[in-house]
Amino acid sequence: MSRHSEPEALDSRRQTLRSVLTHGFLVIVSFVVIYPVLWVVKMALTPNELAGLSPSPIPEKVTLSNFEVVLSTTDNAGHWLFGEQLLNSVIVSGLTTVLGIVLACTAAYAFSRFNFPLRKAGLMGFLVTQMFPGVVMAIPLYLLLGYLGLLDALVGLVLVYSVSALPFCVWMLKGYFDTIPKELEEAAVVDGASRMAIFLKIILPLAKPAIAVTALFSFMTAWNEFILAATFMNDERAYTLPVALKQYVGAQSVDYGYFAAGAIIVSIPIMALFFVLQKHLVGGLTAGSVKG
Amino acid sequence: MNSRHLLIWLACLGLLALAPALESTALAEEILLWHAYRGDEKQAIEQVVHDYETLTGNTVRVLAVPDEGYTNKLVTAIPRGNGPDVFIAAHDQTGSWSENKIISPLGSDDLPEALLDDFHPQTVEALRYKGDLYGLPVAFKSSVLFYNKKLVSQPPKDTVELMAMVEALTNPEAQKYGLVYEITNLYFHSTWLHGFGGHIFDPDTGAIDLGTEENAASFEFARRLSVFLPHDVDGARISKLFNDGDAAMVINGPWFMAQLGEDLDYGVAVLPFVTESRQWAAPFLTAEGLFLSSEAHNRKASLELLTYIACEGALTRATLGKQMVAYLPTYEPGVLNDSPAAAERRAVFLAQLDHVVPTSNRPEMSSVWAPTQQALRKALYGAPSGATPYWMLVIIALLAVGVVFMLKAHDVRTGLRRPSFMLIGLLVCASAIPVIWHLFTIHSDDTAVDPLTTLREAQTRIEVVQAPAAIQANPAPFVALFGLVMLILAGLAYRAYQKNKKRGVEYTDTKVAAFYVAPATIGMFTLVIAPFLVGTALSLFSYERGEFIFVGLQNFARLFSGEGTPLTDSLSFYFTLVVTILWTGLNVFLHVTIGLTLALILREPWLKLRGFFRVLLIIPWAIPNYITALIWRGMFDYEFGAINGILKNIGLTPVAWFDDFITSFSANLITNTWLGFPFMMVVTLGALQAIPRDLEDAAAVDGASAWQRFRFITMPLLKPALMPAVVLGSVWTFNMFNIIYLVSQGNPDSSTEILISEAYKWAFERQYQYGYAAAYAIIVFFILVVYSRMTSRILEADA
Amino acid sequence: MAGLTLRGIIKRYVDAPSDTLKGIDLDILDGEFLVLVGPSGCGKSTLLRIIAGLESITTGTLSIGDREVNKLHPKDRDIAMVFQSYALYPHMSVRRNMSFGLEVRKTPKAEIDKLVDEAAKLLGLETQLDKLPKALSGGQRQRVAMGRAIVRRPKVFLFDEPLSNLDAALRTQMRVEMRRLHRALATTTVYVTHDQIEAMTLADRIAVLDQGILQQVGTPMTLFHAPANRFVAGFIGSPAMNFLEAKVLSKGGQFSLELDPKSSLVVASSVIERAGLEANDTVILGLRPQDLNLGVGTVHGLVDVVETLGWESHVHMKVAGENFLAAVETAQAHDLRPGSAIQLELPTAAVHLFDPKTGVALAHGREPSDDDGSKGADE
Repeated sequence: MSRHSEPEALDSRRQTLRSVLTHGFLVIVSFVVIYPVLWVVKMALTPNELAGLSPSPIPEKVTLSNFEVVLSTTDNAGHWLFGEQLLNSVIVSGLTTVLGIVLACTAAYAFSRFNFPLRKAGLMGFLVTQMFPGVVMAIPLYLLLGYLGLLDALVGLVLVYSVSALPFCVWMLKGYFDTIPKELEEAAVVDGASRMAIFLKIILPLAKPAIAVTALFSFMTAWNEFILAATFMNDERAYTLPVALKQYVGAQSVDYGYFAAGAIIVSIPIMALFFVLQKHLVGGLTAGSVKG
Repeated sequence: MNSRHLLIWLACLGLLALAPALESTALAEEILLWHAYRGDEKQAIEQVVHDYETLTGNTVRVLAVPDEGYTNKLVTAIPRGNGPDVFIAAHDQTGSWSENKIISPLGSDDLPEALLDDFHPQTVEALRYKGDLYGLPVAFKSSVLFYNKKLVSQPPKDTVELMAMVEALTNPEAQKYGLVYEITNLYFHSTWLHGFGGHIFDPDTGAIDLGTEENAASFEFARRLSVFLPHDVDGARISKLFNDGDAAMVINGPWFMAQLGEDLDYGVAVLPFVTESRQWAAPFLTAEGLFLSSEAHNRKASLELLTYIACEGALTRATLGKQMVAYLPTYEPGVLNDSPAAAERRAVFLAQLDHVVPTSNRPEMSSVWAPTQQALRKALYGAPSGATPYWMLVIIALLAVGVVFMLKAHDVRTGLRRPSFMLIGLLVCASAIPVIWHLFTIHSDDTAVDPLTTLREAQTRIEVVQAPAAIQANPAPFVALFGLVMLILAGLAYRAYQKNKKRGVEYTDTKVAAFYVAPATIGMFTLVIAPFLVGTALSLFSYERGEFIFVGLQNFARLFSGEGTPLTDSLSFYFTLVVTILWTGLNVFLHVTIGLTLALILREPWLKLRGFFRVLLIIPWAIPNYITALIWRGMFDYEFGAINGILKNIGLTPVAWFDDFITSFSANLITNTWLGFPFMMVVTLGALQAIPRDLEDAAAVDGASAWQRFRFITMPLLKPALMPAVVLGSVWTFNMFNIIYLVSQGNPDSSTEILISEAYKWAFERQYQYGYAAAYAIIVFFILVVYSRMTSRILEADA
Repeated sequence: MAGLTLRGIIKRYVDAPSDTLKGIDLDILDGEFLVLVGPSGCGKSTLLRIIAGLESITTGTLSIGDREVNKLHPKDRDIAMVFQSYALYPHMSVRRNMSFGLEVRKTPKAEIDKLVDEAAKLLGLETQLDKLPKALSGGQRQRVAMGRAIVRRPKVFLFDEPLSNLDAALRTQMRVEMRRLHRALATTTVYVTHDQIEAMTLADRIAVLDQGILQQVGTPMTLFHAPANRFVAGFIGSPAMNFLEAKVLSKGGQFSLELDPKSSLVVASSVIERAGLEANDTVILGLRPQDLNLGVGTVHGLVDVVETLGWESHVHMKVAGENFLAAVETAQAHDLRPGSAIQLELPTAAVHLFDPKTGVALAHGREPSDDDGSKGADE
C-alpha cells in the first residue's frame, strides 16, 4: 500500500482542498464517535451531586470518588466484592478464551482441510446456530446447567460462553486456514510430520493473526455478557463484573457516576486488547494471505 | 482416532466433570434465604439472621440476589429445586406464584392465629390470595409527599392547594419545579387513581375494569399536573432535583430517604385530600413478605426462621435497616429511639397507611402496568400513529427499488446502458415523496387523547395480553409428523451418501476429522442445539399454573392472527415484524454505508494520522454493547441528556425521544449504528486490501472518474468479500436484544419492540407465556434461515 | 537408494469427465534422473504427487525398490519433494526449514546440525541459515527448498517444476547446479517440468506425458531424433518441428513427397519402405527448423517475418500455404525481406514421417543408433 501513484494529475490546489475536506470530515466523524465516550468519562469524574449535565464533554469539577467507591465495593462480611468479581471475570474470560481457541481451531481446521461426510452440512449448521434467538434458550440452558450442577459455578459460564462465540470464530478461522497454501502442509507431510505436528507446528503459528482475533472475540463474549450471568449466578460473590455494574443502573435508583466509573473500568481491558490487536483485526477477519 | 488423542480428550472431559464437584459446597441441613436488599436493609437482615443462628444453632445461608430479574430467578429456580427455602419479596406476585406453585400457603398449624394481629391488617391482607395466607409481612412501602422545607413551609392539604403551589413554584426555564414524580408510572399515579375513586379491578366481579369515569378523572388531573412537570424523569433524576433544591415536592416511597443528602432539610406529609372527589389520595401499598418456598426442604425450621425475622427481627430491621416494618409492637412507645425527625417521618408513613390500596396480587395485575401506563402517556402527551412503521417501510422499499433500477441502468458486466431503467428508477424514487409528505402530516396531529378512550383501549389490550385458555391437544399427530420428518431426513442423508459413494467420493479423512470436530460439535450439540430444540418444543406448549400443557399449534395460530388486534396495534405480530424489518434494513444500510465510506478514506495513502483515526474509529466496537446502550439511554434523556443539551444550546426545542415512534426508533437506530459501523469498516478495510490498486490505477488511466472507479471497479470486486459480513450483520441486528431492551425499552407503547425483545416480554413480563414466546422465537429463526438462503442464492446467481 | 516401478497406474477424480492418468507403466532405475515432461494438464504433477503419496491411486501399483507403497503414508516412503512454490515454512528460519523433517523424525540434535551444515555448504547457504524465507531472493529460496530435500538423504527426490518461478538467467544457472548435485548424490530423481529445455538438459531419460498417457520414454537424444509420434516430435526440440501434409509420388522407382504442385522433395526409398508407404498415400512430413538450408532447392516458400536472434535467425514463411519456420545462420537470412520468394533444400536424412490419422511415427530419415542420447560429455 505504500506505493501509490496519484493517477489523476491533480493540480496542487485541488489536492490541498481535497486533503483539507477529507481530514475535516474525519475529524467531525471522530468527534461524533468519541463524544459519548467523553461524556461517560465526564460523568465518571464528576462528583455525584454535580451531575446536572451540560452537553460539554469537559467536566467542570474533577473527582475520583466514583472510582474509589466502585473499586472498594465490599459486602457486609468484609469481602472485597469488587476484587472477587474482577477475579471471576478474569477467570471466566481467560478460560473461555483458552477453551474457545481450542474448540474453534480444531473444528475450523477440520472444515478447512478434511474431506468427511456432512462437512458442508456441519459448517452450515454452525452458521445456522447464529440465528437461534437467545431468548428461547435461556430456560433450557438453565435447566441443563442445573442438571449438571453448574449453576452458580464459573465453569458453567465458561462452557456456555466458549460455545456461543464458536460459530463466528470457526467461520473466521476456516476462512483464514483456507488461505494457507496446501503445499506447506504437503511439504510437512513429505517431511514426515504427523497430522498433529502439522496442525500445531505449521498451521497454528501461521494463523496467529486470526487466532488473536478469535481470542479477542472469545474474551469479549465472556467479559461483556450479563444476561446469562445474571440468570445463572445467585451469589453476589460469584458475579462477573458486568452483572455487578448493571446493578448501578437498577430500576429504582440510578447511580450514573458509579455506573460510568464502572463502565470505564470494565471497558479498559477490552479497549487495550483491541488496540494491541487492531492490526490483526483487519487481516484476521478477512482472511489475509500468507506470503512466504 | 489413535489412543493418545483419546486420552487427551478424556483427560479434558474428566477435568470438566470434576469442576462442579469442587464448587458445590451446599450443606443439606442449612436453610437458604434469598432477598434483594442492598445497603442498610441488607446489613439489617444479615444481622437478624446472625442473631437467629446464635439463638437456635441452626445454619442459614443468606443470598443477596440482585433486584434485577429477582422474580424471574425465583420462578426459574424454585421449580428446579435450585431456589431458596425462604425468600423476601414484594407481595404483588403472590397470586402468580401461588398459581405456579412456587410458594406454599401458611396453614393454621404453621402459625398461631393470634400472631397475625400483631401486623398491620392491610399488610396481612396483601399477602392473601384466594383466601390463603402465603407469607408474613416484613415491611411496607407506599408513597408519601416529600417537601423541601426551605421552599414549602406547609405541605398542601388538598389538591387545590397542591395545584396552586405547583403552579407558583414551577419555572421550567430555570429548571425549577413545584412537583416532580414519575407521572406516567402507574405506581405513582395510583395515588390519584384511587383518590378520584377509581379502581383497576371491579371490586364485585374481580374483573379488570379500567374504563370508568373515575379513572378518567384521575387521568384528567394528571394531565393538568403534567403541564408543570418535567418530562420523562427517572428515580435518579428526581433525587438529584430534590437534593439540589430544584424540586419543591416529590411523590415517592420510603426508599427515597436513602438517596437524600444528610443536610437536606425536608419533611414528609400524607398525600393530600382530593377536593374534586372528596376522598383521600391513596397510593399503592407494597407489602414485603416472607414467603415459604413450595420446595422448602425443612418446613419446620424454615417457618421458625420466617417468624423470627418477621417478629423478633423487626426491631433490628427498623433501626439498623431503617425499614418501615409491619410488626406493630415495634411502634409502641419507647421501643424505638429514633431522632425526632425520624420519628416524625415514621409517623407520617404509618398515617399514610390509612389511605392506601394494596397493589392487587392477582396474576393479571402484571399485564395491567404497561398498557395502563401507555394509556396515561397517551392521555398526557398524545398518541403516535400505529401506521407510521408501515409508511416508513413503503418509503424505504420505494427508494431501494428506485436505486436498484438506477444502478441496473448501467450494467457493470456488459457496460450496457438502459436509459429506461434510469427513468423508472427516478420515477419510483419520486413516488416516495407523497408518502413522505403523508407521514409528516399524520405526525403533526399527535395531540393528547381523551382519557376514557385510552383507558378503554388499555382494557382491551390487557385482555389481549392474557393467555387464552389452553386447550389440550393430542400430541400423537405431532409425534408421528416428527418421526416422519426424521425418517425423511435420514433417508435423504442416506441417499446423498449413496450417491457420493457411487460417484466415487472418498472420505479418507473421516476418522481424523471426527477427532478434530468432535469437541466443538459436542459442545454445540449440548449447549446450543439441544437447548434450542427444547425451546422449539416449548412452542407447542402452554405454560399454565406451573405446568406445560400440550396445545399443538395454538400458539402459532394466536401469533398469526395478530392477537386479533388491528395491524396498527403494536401488540400485533405483523406490526413488530415490520418494525424489525425496518430496524434491520436501516441498521445494515447505515453500517455498510458508513463503514465503507470510512474504509475508503482510511486507505488513502496521503491521509495524515491514518493509524490514529483507525484506532479512534474502532472504539465503539471495543465498548461492551450494554454499556453503550446505557450511555446512549442517558444521552437521550429529555431533561438532562447531552443530545437535548446540544439542541437547547443551538436554540432548538428539546425532543422527548421516547414519546414518539419515530424519535424513539431513531434513538435505537443511532445507538446501534454507533456501535455497529466499526465492524463493517474493518471488514471493508480487509477486503480492500485484496483488491489490487493496479486495477483502479488502470481505470484511472482509462479516464474513469472517482465515482466510476468506485462503481465499476471497487464495488463489484468488494461485493463478494462483503456479502458474508452483511448477512452475518443482518442476523446479529435482527436479534439485537440489548439495544431495544435498554435504550427505548419498547417505548412508546411497545411500538419500538423488535421480534426478539417482544418474545422476551412474552416470556418474562407478561405472565410467563413461555410457549408463546417460543413461537415468536421459532418464527424469528425461520425468517433468518429463509433470508440467508435467499441471499446466498442471489450471490451464487451473481457469481 | 532404490528404483521406482509403476504398473498400470490409473487416477480418476470424482466428477472429472475422463481419467487423469490412463494406465501408466514406467520403470525408473536406481540413481536415474528421470524427467516427466508434458503440457500443463497432462497429469505429470498428479503422477508425481502419486509417487509422493499425496494423491491416492485409483488402480495400479507403485513400488519403491521392491516394496509396494500404494497404501504407505508419505512419511514412510522415504522420499523428499521440492514444490513449485517451494512451500518454505514462512515462520521458520532457513535452518529450521531444513531441519524440520529430521526433527519430526526424532533425529539427534547433533546429527541434525551436522546434516544441515553439510547441505548448506553444498548449496552455498551457510550465511543465510538464520534468516526467514521472506528475506531471501528467489534463487536462495529455491536452494533452501532443495536443501530441505537433501538433508534427509531420501531414497527418491521428487521435483515439481522447481525452476519455473525463477528468471531465465537464474534458471540456467540452477539447471547446472541441479545436474552437479545429482552427480554428487546419485539419488533416484523424478523431475516434473513443462519446459523441454530443462528436460533435455537434465534428464538421463525423459518420459513424455500427454492427456494422461505416456507417449514415449527414452534418452533425450532418442526422443529428439526418433520421436515416437507427432506429439513427442512437436514437444521436444526448440523451435518446434514443422509439420506439412504431403502426398507420396513414385516416379520410376524414385519416391518423392509432394507438398503442393510447385514443391516436392525426393526421399530415399528406404525411408518410404520403412514407413510402409505406397504411391498416393498421404503422410505428415516433419522437419526440424535447424535441418534446412536456404538457397537452391525444390521447395518454394514465401517469407513472412524474419526474427534475428544474433548468431541465428528464424525465418517464418509459408510453404504450401502452411506456416513454416527455418532456423538458419543470420548470414544466410541477411537479405530476406517479407514477401520475397525463397527456395529450400530439405535433406532426406532430416525427414520424419507420421501417420496422418494416428500421429504415430512411420519412419525417420536417420535411424537411431545405439550411441545416441548418451551423455558423453556429462558422465
